[in-house]
Amino acid sequence: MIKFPDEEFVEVEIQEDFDIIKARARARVFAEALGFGIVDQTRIATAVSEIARNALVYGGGGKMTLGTIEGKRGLEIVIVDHGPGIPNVDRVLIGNYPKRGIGLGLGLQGAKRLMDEFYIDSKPGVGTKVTMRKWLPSGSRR
Amino acid sequence: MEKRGRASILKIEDFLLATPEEAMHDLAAIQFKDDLLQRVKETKISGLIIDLCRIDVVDSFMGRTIGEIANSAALLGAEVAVIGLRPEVAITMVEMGISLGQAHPLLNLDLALEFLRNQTRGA
Repeated sequence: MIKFPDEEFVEVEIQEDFDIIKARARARVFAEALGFGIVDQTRIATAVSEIARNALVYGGGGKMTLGTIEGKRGLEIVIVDHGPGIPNVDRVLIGNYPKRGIGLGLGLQGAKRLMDEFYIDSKPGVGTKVTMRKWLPSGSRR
Repeated sequence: MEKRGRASILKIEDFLLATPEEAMHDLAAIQFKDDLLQRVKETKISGLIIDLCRIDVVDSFMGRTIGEIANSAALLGAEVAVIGLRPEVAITMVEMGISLGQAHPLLNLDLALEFLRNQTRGA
């Protein structure tokens, strides 16, 4: 069985459609164990769903790592792929990017809105690393 | 484990009620859309209700798929009502800017049936 929140980190491989659901389900359980409420759990699960799909569809698969930050005051999610990378990441994030496949921009922008911190490190030919953080509202720390 | 993403589809009055039974992966969502539109055509119903009460995440892909079902059903002459959205899912969808196309969101099954009966009568 899954043991939280003692477990400090969780890794999930993203290699097929169903792994997107696994990744977001793990993120939700992890967030709940840390003390996030239902709305934040849903924001986190939805952001993971978007970024994990990008890693699968555009990056050819990848890996998600979940962990706590600053003594369990927040949650950090890192999703890495080794795909072709995203040129002009800044333009994708502001929605000014020519269409490439389906909904790359919408997913990234949406995930960014749902999280407190959002960083993309993308290198052409090397891959993409998305780091997202959500902080517990003060007072709800377990 | 891999065969997940099932949905039930049943007839209620002159309408179809479709309920995804659990989280749907992308291929399952596409299959759901194709099956549902086929059923709309075969059964010649004028209204379709999609119950999302078991869905805990509506991301951009799921939202777009439901919107595509509604818009395609409209082309076939059928209205689509969506019920069972959880409050936290609705909040997240609004924050992300996800809409459900021409689907009519309603609070529950009774209201959806009433809405569809009125639509059919008015037509």
